[in-house]
Amino acid sequence: MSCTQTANTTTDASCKSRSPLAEALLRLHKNRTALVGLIIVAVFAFLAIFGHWIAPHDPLEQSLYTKLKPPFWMPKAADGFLLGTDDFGRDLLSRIIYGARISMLVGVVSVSISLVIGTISGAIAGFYRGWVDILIMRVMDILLAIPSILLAIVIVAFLGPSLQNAMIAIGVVSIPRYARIVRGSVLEEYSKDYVQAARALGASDTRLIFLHILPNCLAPLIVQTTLGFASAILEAAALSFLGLGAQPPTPEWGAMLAGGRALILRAWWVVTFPGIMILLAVLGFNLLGDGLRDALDPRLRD
Amino acid sequence: MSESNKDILVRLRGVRKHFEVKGDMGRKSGVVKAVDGVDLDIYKGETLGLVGESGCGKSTLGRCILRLEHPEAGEVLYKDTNVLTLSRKAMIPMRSKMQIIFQDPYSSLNPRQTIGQIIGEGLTIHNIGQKSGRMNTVRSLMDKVGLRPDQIMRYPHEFSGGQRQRIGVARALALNPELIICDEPVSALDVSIQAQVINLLMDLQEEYKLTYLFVSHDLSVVKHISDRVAVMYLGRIVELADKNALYENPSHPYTQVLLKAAPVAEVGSKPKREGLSGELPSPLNPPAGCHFHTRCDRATDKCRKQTPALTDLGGGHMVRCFLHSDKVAEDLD
Amino acid sequence: MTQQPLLTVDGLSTYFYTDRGVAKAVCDVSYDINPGETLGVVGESGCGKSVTSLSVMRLIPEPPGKIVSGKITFDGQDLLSLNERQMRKIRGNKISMIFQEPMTSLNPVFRVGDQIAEAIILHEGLSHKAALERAVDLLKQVGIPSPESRVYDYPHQMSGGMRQRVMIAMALACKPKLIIADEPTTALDVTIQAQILELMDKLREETGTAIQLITHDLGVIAETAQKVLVMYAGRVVEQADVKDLFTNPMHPYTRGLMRSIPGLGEQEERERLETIPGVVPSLLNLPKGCRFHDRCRHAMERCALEEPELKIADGKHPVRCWLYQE
Repeated sequence: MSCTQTANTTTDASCKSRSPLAEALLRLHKNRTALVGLIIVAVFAFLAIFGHWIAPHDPLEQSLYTKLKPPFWMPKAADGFLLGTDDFGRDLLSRIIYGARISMLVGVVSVSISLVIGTISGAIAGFYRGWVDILIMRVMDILLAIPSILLAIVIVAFLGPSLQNAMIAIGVVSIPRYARIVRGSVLEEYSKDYVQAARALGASDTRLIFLHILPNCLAPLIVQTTLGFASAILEAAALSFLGLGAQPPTPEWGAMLAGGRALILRAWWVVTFPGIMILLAVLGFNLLGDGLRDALDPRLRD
Repeated sequence: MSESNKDILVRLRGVRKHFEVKGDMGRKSGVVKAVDGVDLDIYKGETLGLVGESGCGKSTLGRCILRLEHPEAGEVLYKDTNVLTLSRKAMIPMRSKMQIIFQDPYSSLNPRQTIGQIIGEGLTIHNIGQKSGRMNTVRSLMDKVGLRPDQIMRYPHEFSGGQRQRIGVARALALNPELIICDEPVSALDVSIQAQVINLLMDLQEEYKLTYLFVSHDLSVVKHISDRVAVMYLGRIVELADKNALYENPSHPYTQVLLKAAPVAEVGSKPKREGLSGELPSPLNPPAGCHFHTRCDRATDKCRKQTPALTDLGGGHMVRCFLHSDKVAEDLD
Repeated sequence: MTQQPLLTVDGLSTYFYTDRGVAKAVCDVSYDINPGETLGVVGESGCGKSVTSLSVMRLIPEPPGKIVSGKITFDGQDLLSLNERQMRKIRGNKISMIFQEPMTSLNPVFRVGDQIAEAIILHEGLSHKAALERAVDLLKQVGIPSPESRVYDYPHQMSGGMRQRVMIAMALACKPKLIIADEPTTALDVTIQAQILELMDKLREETGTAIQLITHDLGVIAETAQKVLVMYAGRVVEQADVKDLFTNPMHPYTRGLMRSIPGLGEQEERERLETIPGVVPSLLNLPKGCRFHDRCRHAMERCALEEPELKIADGKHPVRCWLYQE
C-alpha cells in the first residue's frame, strides 16, 4: 500500500495523498496498449472538434471534373485531393475527417442515452429490489433477447431513417448493458459495511445511491462506456450502410462504404479509407477500454 | 457496575429476524431464524458483551437494534420509544442516539471519501453546525481517537487496519450517541493493535458515559471489557450473567464448553477439550426443543422435545436449560 | 538420544522485488524441526511467518519474490537445489500444507473425495477407485461422520470445520513427514478450533508427522507446540521451548504481546491493557538497527544503530536483543 503511515512517524513528504481515481489514472499511464488507444481516441476527438478547419475541401462540394481521382501517390492523381475523390468528385480526405465528427457525435449521444437511462434503472433496481427490480430487469431481458442490429432497424424503421434516429436507436439498444452492470455493482456495494454505516447515520436513499454507492460502481461503467463508444460507431456504420442511418450526402463512414460498394474494383480508395477509419476508431476505443479495465480493477492493485 | 436499579436504556422483547434462503428457481427453500425470540435489557452506562459462534445471530441482533435489519416480530424499546415502529422521518433523530462500529476495517469506510468526510458525514446529514465548525469538530474527534488531525484530507487506503478502526470509532462518536453497538470491532486486527483499540473504547466509554453492546466471538476480549455477558446459540440467548458470575460459574452446558475450548496462553495443564462433539447444526434446520441438545452430553428426552425458557438462578444470572430450571423448580417446591 | 532434525532451515532470506522497492520479507531465519515435533511460529501481520513456510515449499512466486540465500535441508535433501519437477514430488507427498481459509482452499467444482484422491493418484500411482477408498479411510481418520457418503460431497455442502478436516485429510493422504499448517484454525469457531487442534495432536501422535504450526494466537501455541519461534518484521526475535517461552519471555516484543492479550484466567478489575505503541514497520522501509526499537520501551541508543544477533544469553534461550548481550 503506498503512503501507509505509522502512527508515530510523519509521512514521507514525497508521498502525496491521492484519490482512488487519481491512482487509477496513474496506473493507466503505465499500460502501453491503453496509451496507444488513448492517443488514437485523442486524434479522433481532435478531428471531430477541429475538423472543419483542417479539412482541405468542403465535403459536400461536388465536381464533375474531379470524379474518381486516385490518392496522391498514384498516377493520374489530382492536386489537392490527397486521398482521392469519390464518384461525385468530392474530396475523400475531407469527407472522412467530417465523418470522424459524425462518428464521435454518434458515440457521445447514443452512449449518453444508454448511460443515463441504464444507470438510473440499474440503480433503482439494485437498491430497492423486490417487484421494482423484477420489472426493470425483465424489460432489460426482453431488450437483450433481440439482436441489437435488428432492434435498431426496427426502431429506425419506426421513427424514419435519419442519423438522429439511428443514434436514438443505438442508445436504446444498449441500455440493458449499463443497467445490468450498475445493478450488479449496486447489489455488491449495498452489502458493504460503509453503506450500512451511512444508513446508521441517517443517510437518505438518494444520498446513499448518489454519494456512496454509485461512485464506487464507476470502474465497470467507465470501461463499458469506452467500449460502448466502439460498438456505437460500428452500429451506426452498419445502419448507415443499410441506408437506415445517415442519409446521403452526409459523409458518414458507413454510408460511404455503401455508396462505394459498386466501385470497389474501379476505385478501391472510395471504400478503403472509410473502412480504415472505422477500424482505427473502434480499435482505439477498445484498446483504451481494455486498458481502463486493467487500471481500474482493484484486484490488480498490489 | 450493574446494580439492579440502574436505568434501562434499551429493552428487547421477543425479537425475531428471519432470512429467506432462495432455492434454485428463486423459490423460497428455507428460512434461517437468525434471531429466534430474544429478550434482553441493556442498562445505561454498561458494557454488555454478546458472545457466540458464527451463525448464532449476535451480529444480526445488533443490527436489529439499529433498524439496519427489520425484525419480523418483537419490540426494540429505546427509553420507551419503539424503534421499530417509528416512521422513517421520526427515525432520523433517533439515529444520532445509537451508532455502530463494524468489524472489517476495509469495507467499513467508503474508499472514495476522505476520512474528514467519513467522520463528518453524520454532522452533515443532521445539519449540525456550520461547514467550518464541522471540520473542527472532526479534527478534535480524530485527536480523541489517536489519529493525527492534519491527515483529515487523506483517503482510507492510506491507513492501516488499526487506524481505520479508529476512523470508524470517530465516525460513531461524531453524533454524540448514547449507545454504540460494537460489532466485532477488534476481531480483524493484530493482537497488539487489538489492545490499543480496546483501551481506546474503554477510555471513551468513561469519558462520554457510553453504553456498549460488545459483540464478539473472542471470550477473553469480552471478559476484559464487559460488565455483563450474554451467550447466544442458534438465535437464542442461552445464558446471561454478570461477567464474573459467567466466567467463574458457567451454567449452560454450551457456555461451559465454550470456555473450556478457548485456548489459554499458559503452559501447564493439558487442555480439557472434552464435552463437545459434533458440528454446529445448520441454521436452516435447527434441532427441535433445546437447540443445543444434539451436542450436549447431558441431554435428556425432555431437551429433545421441549424448549426451555430462561430461568433466573439468582442475582440476574439467567440460563436457558432444563437441568437448571428443573432444579430451581424442585427447590421451590 | 540425538536425532537428525527432519527439517533444517539455515539462514533463509526471501525478498520481494516490487517497483516500490525491495520488501525484505524474511531475513536470515534459521530453525529446525525434529520428527514428530510441533514447532509453533508466532507473529503478527508482516512478520514473515507465511513467507517462511512458502519458501520451504518453494511456492514463492518468482518474480517478484526470490529466495536470496539460505539452505533448506529436508530429510537429508537440499530443497533449494532441486528442480521444479523434483520439488513437485515432495509437495503433497513428503511435505504437505494446510491453509487458512477452508472456504477458498478447496476447489468448489470438484468433489471432496476426488480432491483428496488427486494427491494419492499423483504421488502413489494408485487407481482412482483405490485412491477413493483411501480417501474414505482418511475422512474417517479426521473424524468426519458417514465418510462413505461424504466423500461424494462438494465443498459447499460442508461447514467450515468439516472443510478444514478435509484439508487435513488431503494433507495426510500421502503420509507426509512434515505438515505445514498456516493459521489452520483462525477462520474457525472456538469450539471447532478446539476439535481441529485436538485432531492434529492425535494424528501427530499416531503417525509421527512433524508439524510447523503458524499462528498469531499465543493460546494455540501454548496448547499445541513444543518449540516456538517468535517472528517480527522478517526476523526471528526469540526461539525457545514452549514452557521456557511462557515462563520466561525475554524479548520485549514477546513480552509486550503476552501482556496485551486479555486473559481468561485472571480476575483483575477493568484495567487498561498494556499495549505496544505504534505499528509494524513496512518491509519496504525497515528502520535502522533493531527492527523493533521504535516501539520498544527499553530501547537504548545502541538499538537504533546496530541490529542485534540472535544469541543465547545467560544459558537460556536464543533472543535477538541488546538487553541481553554485551
